[in-house]
Amino acid sequence: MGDVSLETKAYAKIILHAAKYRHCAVNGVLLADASKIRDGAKNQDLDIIDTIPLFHHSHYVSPMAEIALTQIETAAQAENRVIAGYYAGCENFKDNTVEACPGQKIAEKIVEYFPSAVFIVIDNKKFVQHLDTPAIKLYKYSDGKWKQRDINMKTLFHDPDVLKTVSYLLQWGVEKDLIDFDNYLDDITQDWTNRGIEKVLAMSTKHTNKLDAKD
Amino acid sequence: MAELLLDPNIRLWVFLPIVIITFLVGIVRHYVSIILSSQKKIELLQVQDSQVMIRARLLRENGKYLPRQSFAMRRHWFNNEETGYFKVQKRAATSQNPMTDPGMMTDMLKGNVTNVLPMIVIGGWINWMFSGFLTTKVPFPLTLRFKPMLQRGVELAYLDASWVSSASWYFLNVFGLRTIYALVLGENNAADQSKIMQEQMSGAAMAMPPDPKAAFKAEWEALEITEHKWALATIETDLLASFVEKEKTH
Amino acid sequence: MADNYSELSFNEAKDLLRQWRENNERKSDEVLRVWSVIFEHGVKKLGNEKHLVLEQVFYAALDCHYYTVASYCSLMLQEEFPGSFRVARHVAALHEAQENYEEALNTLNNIIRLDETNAAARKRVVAILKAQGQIQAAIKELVDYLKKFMSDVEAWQELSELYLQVQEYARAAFCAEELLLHQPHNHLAHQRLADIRYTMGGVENMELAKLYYCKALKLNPENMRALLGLFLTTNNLLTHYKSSGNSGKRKEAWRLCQWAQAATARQTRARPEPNAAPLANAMLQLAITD
Repeated sequence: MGDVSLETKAYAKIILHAAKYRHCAVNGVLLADASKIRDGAKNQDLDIIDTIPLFHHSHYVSPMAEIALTQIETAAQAENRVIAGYYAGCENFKDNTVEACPGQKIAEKIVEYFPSAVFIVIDNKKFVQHLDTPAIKLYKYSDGKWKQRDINMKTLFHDPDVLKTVSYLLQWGVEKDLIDFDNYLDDITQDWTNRGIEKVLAMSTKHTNKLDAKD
Repeated sequence: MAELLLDPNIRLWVFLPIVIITFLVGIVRHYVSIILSSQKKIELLQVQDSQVMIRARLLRENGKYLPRQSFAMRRHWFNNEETGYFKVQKRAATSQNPMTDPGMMTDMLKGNVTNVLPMIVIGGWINWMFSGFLTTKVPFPLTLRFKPMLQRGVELAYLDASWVSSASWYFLNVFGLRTIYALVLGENNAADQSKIMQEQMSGAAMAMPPDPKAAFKAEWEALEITEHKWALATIETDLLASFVEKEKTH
Repeated sequence: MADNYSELSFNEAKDLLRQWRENNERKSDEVLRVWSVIFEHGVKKLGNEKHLVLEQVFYAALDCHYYTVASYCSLMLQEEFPGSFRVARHVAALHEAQENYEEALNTLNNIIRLDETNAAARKRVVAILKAQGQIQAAIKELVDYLKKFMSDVEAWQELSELYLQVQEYARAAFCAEELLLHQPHNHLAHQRLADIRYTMGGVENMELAKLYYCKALKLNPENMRALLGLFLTTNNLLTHYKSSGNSGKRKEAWRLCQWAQAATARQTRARPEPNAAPLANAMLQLAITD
């Protein structure tokens, strides 16, 4: 056991963030439902229900990361969620490892509070407009290191149509509407929880279902 | 006074040929100058010198925004007695005489070849070939003072000043056709655009000090007497004060 | 697709491209779509702008990995300007995009050999090293470049970022200071230096960070990053002075901290903001009660 699974919107936001800033390194945090997590239990299943896209520039200075993490933490607590992991994508196309990712200090900080955290690395090589495999790599923290996990397609997504839905979003250019924390700091009226994207997502899920019904 | 009548052959064999010849010569000259034009080659050392000068000037002007230590460090790098940039870098004083610089000479020659030479040759030829004709008449009366300008080569004291001689017609064309060239060749557009595309040099190095040695010495002195005045010393109180004022005005 | 570029007329397309070119916008996808409109009408009709448009489309195509379009543009330009270094740089860029780094470097080195002052080619060499992941080599090359072209603002900025990547904060700060010398009235330059100083940590750096955040705010009161950064630094200083017992400085920091908090509240009040509550809560949590 100890499987990691992702909700559609969590996966969609990761991919859209990387698509919006395809020429930059990106990072963000993963949120899990606090009520489902038992303290101290090893090898428990982890269900990532949401992600918050953080930055696409200035990865290597800390002040804004501190602000962002505190802010996200308080917001998450209010909804009974915890920060359960970190995702990052590299600027360089060929770098698809944890070591090359920005913000490893943030990831280590998350591990301090949440020992069974996951680290998702965006796999640039699998990143295409028509996703047929999940363009991510999963790492889990154990024994002071990030260890890669095999992706189990059956348990990774609850909804079997995730890849299709996200591909639709990419084709429609929804990534332009994604707001990350850098956008928020530029203009504080922006919403980094991306409720708008969630709405679009709900609509497009219906859309895919309809298409499937037609087939 | 009897009205003068020009032979229509003059129009066909003098007036029009002069226009056409000057026009064609102008076009040929344009292309020849494009072929001959050479981009000025800039030495790396000159670029480096000019950029160093910019940086030193900026340090003098904006050094107040840096902490004292950072400012002193940079000044030390420029001005230090043993290792300072302005002390270590030795530049030979450049000679000011353009005659000793072969590059300058060729440039001057090219300018002569494309501009002055055709003027002399074509002008002389036209003077010889079409001398002594009256070609046209300006449609308004002119005073006598215009006679030497418009009637070169036709020295008739009693001729009306509005008549134009062939030699003068040539000069009028040379100067008057400039706008036509701009129209036909797109002088300031097409040629310049392709020059940008050719871009054999970087733009930043345009303002080169003519004599780096003297410029270095001047800059060294200026830096030496610059005092560091920390601009952010009172910024906190300034910031608070400025916002308090704003609050009050609201 | 919301934007329907295929319905543009030729002149509209041309104007759109010019606008993007002049504003330095990176809209590679859109450029290529507009290009298809222009291409239909024929490239010749572009007149004087032809070469500039070709170059713009060339880089856009590289950005989107449309190598056929890119090599078409590159060949057109090569035909017209066979000896130009600028066009030679296009060839290098094409190689670079296709990851033929060897050949790209060869071309660039050739340009540099023929024209020592070609700054763009030298910078491209740095970019290639960076793309290959050789950060240290890229830094070395860039430092060499800066020894010759000392007032190149972009290069200083890039060097600062490279140093940050390898966590040499003191050197990154040096480069950021150099940026400040070139643009003393740019609030972002002040904020960037403050960010680096804050990341370095320590009381002295905190004090500097505080001052630069203040300057950034003075230049642009809307700069949220500087405002929040000021809040963090003053908080940090407060804890320090609390333990070291420097009451004068502590009071000063306290006033600034209060002010930053109030200013943030004002910002959020002035504009309706969906995440005001988490921000206020976060600040409360970070703030040290005196």
